[in-house]
Amino acid sequence: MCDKLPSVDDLVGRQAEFAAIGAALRRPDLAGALFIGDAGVGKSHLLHATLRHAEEAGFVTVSITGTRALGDIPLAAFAALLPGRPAGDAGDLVQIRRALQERAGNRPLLLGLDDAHLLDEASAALAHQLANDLTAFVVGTIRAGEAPPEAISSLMKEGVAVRIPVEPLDAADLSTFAEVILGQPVSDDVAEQLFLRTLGNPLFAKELLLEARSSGVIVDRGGVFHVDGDLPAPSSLSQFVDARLAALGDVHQRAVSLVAIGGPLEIELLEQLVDPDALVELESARLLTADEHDDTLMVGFVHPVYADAARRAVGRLAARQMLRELADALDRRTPRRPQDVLRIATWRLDGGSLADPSLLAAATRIASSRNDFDLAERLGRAWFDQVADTPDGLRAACRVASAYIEQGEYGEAISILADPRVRREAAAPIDRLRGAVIEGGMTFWAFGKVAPAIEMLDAAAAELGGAHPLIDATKAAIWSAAGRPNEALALTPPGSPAATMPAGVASDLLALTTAGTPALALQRVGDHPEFVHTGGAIAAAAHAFALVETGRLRDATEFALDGWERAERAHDRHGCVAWAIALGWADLNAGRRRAAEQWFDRATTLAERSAAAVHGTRWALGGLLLSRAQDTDPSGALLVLDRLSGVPPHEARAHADLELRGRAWLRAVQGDVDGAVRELLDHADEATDRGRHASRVRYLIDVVRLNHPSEALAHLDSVPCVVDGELLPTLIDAIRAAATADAAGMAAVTDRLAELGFLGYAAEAATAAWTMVRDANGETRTVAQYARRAQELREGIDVHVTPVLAQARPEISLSRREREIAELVAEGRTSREVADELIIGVRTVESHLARVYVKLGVRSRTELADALGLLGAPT
Amino acid sequence: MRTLFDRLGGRSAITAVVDDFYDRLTRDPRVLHQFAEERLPSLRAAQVAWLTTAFGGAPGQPMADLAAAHRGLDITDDQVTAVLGHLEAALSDAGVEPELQRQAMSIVSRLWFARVF
Repeated sequence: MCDKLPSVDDLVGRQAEFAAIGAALRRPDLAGALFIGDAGVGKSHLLHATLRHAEEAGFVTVSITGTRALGDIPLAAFAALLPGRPAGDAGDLVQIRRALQERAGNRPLLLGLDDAHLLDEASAALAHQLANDLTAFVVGTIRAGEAPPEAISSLMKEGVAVRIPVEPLDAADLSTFAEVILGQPVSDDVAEQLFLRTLGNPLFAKELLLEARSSGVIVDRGGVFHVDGDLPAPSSLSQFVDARLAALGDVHQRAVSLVAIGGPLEIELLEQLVDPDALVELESARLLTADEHDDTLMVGFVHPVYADAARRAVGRLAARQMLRELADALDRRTPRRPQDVLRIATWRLDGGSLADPSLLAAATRIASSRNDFDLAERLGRAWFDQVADTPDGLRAACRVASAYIEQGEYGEAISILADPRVRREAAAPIDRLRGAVIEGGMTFWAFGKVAPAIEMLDAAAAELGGAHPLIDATKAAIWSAAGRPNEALALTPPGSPAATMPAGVASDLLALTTAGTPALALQRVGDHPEFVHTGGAIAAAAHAFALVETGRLRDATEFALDGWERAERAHDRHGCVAWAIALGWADLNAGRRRAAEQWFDRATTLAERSAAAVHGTRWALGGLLLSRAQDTDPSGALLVLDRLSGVPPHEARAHADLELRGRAWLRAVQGDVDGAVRELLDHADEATDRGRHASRVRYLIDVVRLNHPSEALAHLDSVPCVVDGELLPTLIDAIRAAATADAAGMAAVTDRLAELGFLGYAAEAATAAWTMVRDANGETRTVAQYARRAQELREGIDVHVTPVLAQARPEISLSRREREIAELVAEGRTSREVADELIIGVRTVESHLARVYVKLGVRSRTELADALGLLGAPT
Repeated sequence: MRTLFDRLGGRSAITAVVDDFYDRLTRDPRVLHQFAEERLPSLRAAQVAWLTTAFGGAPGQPMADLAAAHRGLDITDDQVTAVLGHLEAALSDAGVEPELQRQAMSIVSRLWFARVF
């Protein structure tokens, strides 16, 4: 293997840019670089040189190009990498990613994105993902002044890709460049005029030189080109290009216009519409070029400035006419790839001609599967308008409604489903089912109403002649989210078809968790491993909640962080909301208040513009409220209440539990502890009635934390409480220990909670245990040991002032002399050394020390140092 | 976003992987002559530091210049394949999940092949 590669000699004046790309490739923190500069400055040249060079160095390279004509078609740029299948499905993105990884093998992959500012959104999002998950190092070009898709600009904002500006050439480099183009040097006159005209833009310079040579303005005299008169003087590159295109004959202009409107185009397609000879002539005139993609020759422009100029030159009516011609021509071709279906459908729509409903149906499905809901809505609308009053009307309405829902436009979704032209009774049963599931789901998730949603689903089931697994699973998901686990679980008995549908598994997970059996819930999901990826954001977050409730706090955080990163990469806003809430909940349980509040805050902001607008916002604000109220921050909590009052109500339950606990805590910190306890006990009873034992335990432990343990115990023993996992049984032990003043039991609870990572609860349990031994007039050494444990745990959390902690702060006070001696000993002196230093007797030192050991509950000099550290500065 | 280094399990995990990696290298006749016995301890330490930086566990670029560090060694394509294979196997045996493994290998192979870019 060689240690050096040949230098890139056809790049004039680009050593710095080329060195920059090499340096970027060697930076482990980067996954991309973007060349930015004016049209014609040579960005694509640099990109192609980079790709060639990388291949020589051992990289595998793949390159795609954005074009204005295909900028609206999702994944258009990656189409050549998609296998030719009859219709796209949700796996397109996964397939392209896998194909690229296979192609690369154990070699690094370089993905070129030429004209990245013209990429369609889906291709841009995929490129963003490929860079972020390190499938490829991405090198792109962006024209200065153009806004690239958000996914591309965010690569730069996130620091994943570095910008490499590409400036015009200086006079000397331009002169060298002219020599490379003409094959012979140019005189100083030519060089000077060339620089003045083009200001160092190489494409402009190349065009001028070739034009000047063919028209005889520059002539070869003894091996050097001299100017005979003046070089042509267009004011800009685009003016020059416009002039070149205007000089073309009709046949050539037609070919150029077709490629500008629909291109790049398959050669066979283009040859149906224009004279093949004209294409050959345009190729030799360096306007058009043909590149092979996936065994097909595609004809495009040699440079996008020509495409732009040609588009400007085509009138709107002519453009519509050409789109119709292109659609007809492509329609005659078989077999059709998903890409072709999308092109025919959009060309027909934009060309103003009627498209075949079955084509529109297929195109709508492909657009949805590529997450382009905007296009799916447009295509689906056109389909719907043709079939609204036929038996297919409802199916089309459902497709369009789903596209609206994905964009958070519920009003539009409702109105298309309620369109008077739709004849439901004529629709196929499966479509009626789909319609009911969409409407029922929306009634609950978007508008927060349980009863009407269930009624809608029941009515649909009755109309279709009884129960249906999809209806049952949807109802179960609604019941479980609404805090009614018993109703939910009754609809999805183990082994039933409804229990194996994604909505059914999600429902079981949530229902079993809230019922107090999170370990069983996790076991149920364990039987459906694929579910984690297919169950959607809510389901995945429910998984994180089950992990918390079962006591696996660290696993929950790990799992949710991974989910958050995945959702962020995929620009999945809805997912980000769910994960941020799960992370906030985990942090709150771990006693990390600040981190928890940051996550809840982030979730609120994200939820505002997502499909989870109402319940996501209420949920996150509920978490924020609880965190602040528990931490004796009434003014902060009141601010949250104020924000909550501006959010519509929603009957989902998970957020309601947080919010109700938060309201009760706020009442307590405002001084009405008895009122707060009454509220909490009422909520606990409601939870008991509904079978939500996890919530019941959480409410009752709050009652204990507000110093009413015997009431908590009474409500715990009223109805049997069967819970599993590690956390909930420990919390029940805490209630019992508190009610019976069982200090040893509370100490055991402390250790268990600390071990699981629930440090906020653990610190309070330790404090409670200490209070118990102190009030029972326990042995001083024991009291001190408990005090030290409480002190230690309080250090590990950033919730400092929950009421329990505030009213009972272990006070360990040493006299001045005791402290002085203890500190010297802790520094490592012997008793003799201390005695000498303080000029007192050794025996005195030791008797002081003995008292210190008892007060601090320590047994050794090492423990002494730790205990002093916890004590803080002398008061 | 957490670094690859954190997700792989931090310093102790990397150290364990490197130990295993070198055990494999020094048992493989295709590459073992490239590793002088007396330099192994320092190579292992340098490898831990290099991977730590490559995976984002320490700021900046991996300090060793790969091109300089391997100059004159006359490394063949087969040897590169063998070495990358051993690293992948070491990650796999350490229980690193496949997607993380792929990401780690992707960084390492890029930094290697871009060394003389």
